[in-house]
Parts: sequence; C-alpha cells; structure tokens
Amino acid sequence: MPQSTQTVASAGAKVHQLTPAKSETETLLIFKLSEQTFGIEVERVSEIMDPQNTARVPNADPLAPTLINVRGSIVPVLDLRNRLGMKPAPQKHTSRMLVIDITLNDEPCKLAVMVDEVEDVIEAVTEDLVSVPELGIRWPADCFRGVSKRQDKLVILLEASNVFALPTH
Amino acid sequence: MSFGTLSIGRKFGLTFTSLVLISVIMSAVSFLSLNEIKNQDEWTTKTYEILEATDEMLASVVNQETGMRGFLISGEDEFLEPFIEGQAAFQEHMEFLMTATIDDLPQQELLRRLSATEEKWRTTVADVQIGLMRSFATREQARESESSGAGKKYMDSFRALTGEFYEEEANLLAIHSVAKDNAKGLANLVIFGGSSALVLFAIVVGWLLTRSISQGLTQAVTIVREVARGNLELNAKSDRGDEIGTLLNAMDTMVNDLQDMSAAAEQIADGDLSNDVRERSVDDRLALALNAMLVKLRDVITNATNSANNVAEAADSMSGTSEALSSGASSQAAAAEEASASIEEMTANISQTADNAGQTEKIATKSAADAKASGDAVEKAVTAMKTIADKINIIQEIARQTDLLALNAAVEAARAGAHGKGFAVVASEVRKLAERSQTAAAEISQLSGETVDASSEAGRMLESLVPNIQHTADLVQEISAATREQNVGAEQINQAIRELDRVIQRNASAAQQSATTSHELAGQATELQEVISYFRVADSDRPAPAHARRPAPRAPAAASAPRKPVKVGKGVELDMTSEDELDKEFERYAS
Repeated sequence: MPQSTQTVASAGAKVHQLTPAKSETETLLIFKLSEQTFGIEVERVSEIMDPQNTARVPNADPLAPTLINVRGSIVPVLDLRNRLGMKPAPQKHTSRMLVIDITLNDEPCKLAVMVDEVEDVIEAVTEDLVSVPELGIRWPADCFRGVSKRQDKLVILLEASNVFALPTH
Repeated sequence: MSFGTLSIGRKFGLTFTSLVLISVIMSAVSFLSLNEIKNQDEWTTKTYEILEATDEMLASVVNQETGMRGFLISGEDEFLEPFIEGQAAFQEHMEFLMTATIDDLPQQELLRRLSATEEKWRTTVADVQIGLMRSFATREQARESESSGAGKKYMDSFRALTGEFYEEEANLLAIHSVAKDNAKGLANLVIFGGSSALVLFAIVVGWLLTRSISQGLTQAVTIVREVARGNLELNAKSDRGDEIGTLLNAMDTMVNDLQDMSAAAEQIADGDLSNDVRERSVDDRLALALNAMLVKLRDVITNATNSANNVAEAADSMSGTSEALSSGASSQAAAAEEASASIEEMTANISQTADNAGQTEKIATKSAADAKASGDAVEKAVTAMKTIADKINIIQEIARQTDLLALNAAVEAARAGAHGKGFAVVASEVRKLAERSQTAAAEISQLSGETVDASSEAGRMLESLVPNIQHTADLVQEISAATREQNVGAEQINQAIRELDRVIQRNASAAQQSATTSHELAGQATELQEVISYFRVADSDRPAPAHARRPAPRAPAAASAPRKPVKVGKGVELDMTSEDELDKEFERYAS
C-alpha cells in the first residue's frame, strides 16, 4: 500500500519537523479501542505483548475480571472498555496487551489492558494538546488529559494516573 | 285293316306264322314225295327181282331142254341132271313169281299159262322123249321126235309167254320209274320251289318289315337328330298304326311342346320377361327352369338396371375422382421430387453434421482430457498457494512479532529519553519495515487466499467441467452416432421418397388410366343400360332409357372433394410425430 506508506512517512516527517521547533514534546503511544484512537505517555508503558491466556478471577470486579502471567508476575487485566464506559467487543487479531506501570499505594506495580491495535509511538508537542471540553457527562473527564489532532483524526490522551487508578471499594 | 296298320309284333307274328306254315307244307310234301319215291323204289326192286326170276325161270326151262337134249344126244343119265334141276328151279321160280305178282291178275294168268306150257312140254315132250330114250330101241324115235320139233312148239310158246310176261313187267318197271321220277320231280319242285318261295317270301316280307321299321325309325332318328340339333320346324305327325306311328306322334307332341318352350325362350330372348311359361306338368323341369330363369332374370335385370345406373353414376363420380386423384398424384410427384431434393440436401447436411460431430467429439474428448489436466494443475496450484499462504503466515507472524518488538523497542527508546533517540528512530524504521512486510504479507496472503479461492473455484469448475465435457463428448458421440444413423435414415428416406415418387408417378398414370377407364366404364354402363332396356320385366316396370337416368357428367375440376391441399411450394409436409416401420429400426436419442 504505497499511499499508506507515504502517509506514514509524511507523519514521520511531520514528527521530525516538529521536533526542532518545539522543545516541549512528549512521546505518546497511540492505540485504538473500538475505532477510537487513544494516546498514552510512553513512560507509563512497560511492555507491549501479544494477547495472553487470561485466568478469570471468580466473582471479580467486572473492571478487572482476569489475570495474566507476565514473565512470572501475576498482573491483573483492566477492562478498559468497561473503565471508559464502552460496550464489550470481541478480541481482534490486531489486539495487543499493554503492560502499564502504575503506582498503587506508593508502590510500583503493573497492570495490563487489552487494546484493539497499537498504532505507533509518536513525538507530540505538548502545546498542541487541547483540553477536553467539559460539556458531556458521558465521558469521565478526569480520565483524559486532552485531545490531540493527528492526521485529521482526534487522539484522546488518557490521564494514566486516573484511568488506571482503580477505584477502591 | 291293312298290313300297314298292324302293330310290329303282329307283323312279325304273321310273318313268322306264314314262314312256319310254308315250311310245314314243304316238309309234308317232301315227306310224302320221299315216301312215294321209296315205294316206287321198292316196286322197281321187286320188278327187277321178278324180271330176274323170270330170266332164271326161262333159264331153268332152257336147262331142262338142254339136259333133255343132252340126254337125247348122249343117252347118258348124267345129262339129265340139268333137266331135273331145271324142273326144281322152275318150280321154285314159278312159286316166287306167283307170290310176287299176286296183285297182278293178268300176270298171274300169264304165269299159269307158262306153268301149264312147261308142264305140257315136260309131260308131252320131254318125259316122252326121255322115256323113249331109255329104251335103246326107241332112242332113234326119241331123237326123231326131238328133231321133228315136237318140243319146239311148246318152247316157242313158252318163250313168247315169257317175253310177254317180261314185257309186261318191263312196262310196270317203266310205269314205276315214271312215277318215281314224278315223285322226285315233285319233291324237287316242292323243295326247291318251296325253298325259293320261302326265301323270296322271307326276303320280301323281311325287306318290307325292315323297310317299314327302318323307315319309321330313320324318320324318328332324323327328327330326334333335328331336335338334338335344335331344329324344331318339324312335322312328325304320322298316320301309321304301329308303335313307330305312336312314337312319331309322341315325338310330334314333344316337338310341338318344345316349339312352345322355344317360343317362350324366344320371347325371353326378345326381352319380354312379362309372361310366365306354361308348365306342362309338375315334372316339366324345362318349364320350371324357364320360369325360375324368368324370375331370376327379372330379378337380375331389375338389379342389373339399378346396378348399371349406380355404376354409371359411380363411374362418373369415379372419373372425376380419378382425375382429381391424377392431378393430386402429379402434385404429389412434384412434391416428392422436391422432398427428395430436400432430403438429399439434408443428407449432405447430415453428413456434414456427422463430420462436425465427429470432430467435435474428438475436440470434446481432448477438452475433457485438457480440463482434467487443468484441474490437476489447478489443484497443484491450489496446494502450492496453500503452502505459500502458510509460508506467508509465518512471514506475517514474523512481521507482527517484529512490529511488536519494534514497538517495544520504541517504547524502550522513549523511556530511555534523550539517549534513546537514535534507537527510537531505528525502532521506528524497523517497525515501518515490519509493517510494510506485514502489509505486503497480508496482501500476499489475501492474494494467495483469493488465488486459492479462485483456484479452488477454478478447480471446482474444472472438476465440474470435466464431467460436463465428458458428458458433452458422450453426447457428441451419441449425436455423431445418431447423425450417422440419421444419414442412413435420410438415405433410406430418400430412397423411400424416390420409391414413393415412382409409386406416385405410377399412381398418377394409374389414376389417369383409372379416369379413362371410368369414362369407358361410364360409357359401358350407358351401353349396359341400353342393353338392359331391351328386357321388359313387366309392362309397367320398363327400365327407363339410360340417357334419362344418367347424371350429368361432372367436370373433372369439380372434383374438389376432401382433397388435401398440396403445397406447391418447397418440400412436403412430413409427419415426424407418428412412427412407422422404418422409424422403429432406429433408436431414439432423447436428450
């Protein structure tokens, strides 16, 4: 697909163009979930994995119903769709698991989420971020840091500390 | 009652009675004559005996004289023996003669005189002389006495008497001889004359009888022959009183009856069938037959008249029909020729088709083989594609993992901060490559999948194509066979049509002929009607003249009966739906 290759190249070029102009950049991992493009700070991402066999925890919270084994450590899998109030969808062949480093009770720990597709790792200018308008009540606003435009598509930057800060019961 | 009126039996009776009577008379007369002859014969014999006895008597007297003379001469006694013997012989003969002539008195008288003369001679002469002689002395006296002729007087008298007697007997002999001759003549006359008269009578009467019978019978035979010849203009009537007359009269009656019959038959021949024939008796088979014939003839003539009328009408209509048939047959012939030409063309086409079908069959077989090979090739291609797809999956997986690794590397590089910048670029490039690989692999995979699908589809299609082609080849083979048979069939049809053509032409000529014949038949029927009209069945039911009853002859063109319209255009209408014998020889290939 030469078109897409060119697009990717131009996107890359754009990133490279952006880099010398603006000093305040951050690296984002772009992924898709239910046809929606999301972004997350790459520092939060520990690892990108193929979907693993999950073990369902009986009577667990629907937010984190399953567990996986990541190189020997047991990591709970957060149902991001559930967290973001999206409808459940079946796993795709492009689905990946992101292992996210979070801090829980001041202790570093890991958490896995299933995404439909990992798109890219990009350099984004921080100033380009646009705050999410506080209009709708549908979106839990504390989960989003803002919206970035990327190739005429909106990338919603997730506020990792909130999104992955699981509400305690 | 003349002889002619007698019956034949009586005629024969009379004739034979006459013949018998004549014969009896003849026999009687002959018998009497013969008796007379016999009598006369007896008489003659007796007379001859008398004559002989007379001679011997004379001889005995002469012997006596001789003996006496011998004694007189010799004087010897031995010479006296003839004298003595002569005496005895004389007595003997005299007695015989006396007995023999006892019915003749003059002769008896003569004999007595002879006897007396002899005795006188003997007593007066002989005995005296002998006595004289015995004594020697008187011997000369005796001799003188003798020489004096004393005895001669007696001897002469004796001889004279003997001559007289002899003569008388000779006369008697002559009389008897004449009587015998008369009797003989009568007998001869009776025998020859009677026989001749008998023969003559027999001939005459036989001739008359024969002539009478033969004439009558000849007449009868002539009449019968004439009747047998069929000539009835005869008059057999006869006034004869005998059986032949009866026969001829009966024949005359028969001839008259036959003339009547003949007249009746002539009446029939003249065509008058109205009168019945008079029957002469219940046994009159001819009249019965003639009557039956009349009845039959009336029936037949009536029927024949009707039939002739019908035939005339039918012949007219048949003539029209035949002409129509003829023209139809001509059209048929033309149509059959066209059909023949069409069939020939069709045969050529069928041959072409057969060749084409054969080629098509070959092609189809080859196509089937090719398709099968193609199927195999496609199967191999599919297998290869599947292998490629498997391999591509591996590449895809590698690309995906590379992508994942590159993402992780990018993540790591990003987390490394400024130090990881270069690595991030590398990771990004690696990821791009991996993505391109993945895209390409996906495309290849998709393409190979599509190819596999297409190939599978092609394979399936080829697989289904092979039997189809095979089926096509089989069908084409069948078509080829059917076409060959069609070819044969078409040739046969052609032959049949040619035959049909000939038949039709024959039919046409036959129909033409039939038309002519029908015309002739109509003419013949008219003639027949005219001929039949000669007969008068009854005075009232006289067959009408033929011309009046004959329907007006129809024009040949008017025979537009249920005639199938013949297409003058190309070809003929062939009925392919119904099967005939020829069709049954062919197998029907129903597709």
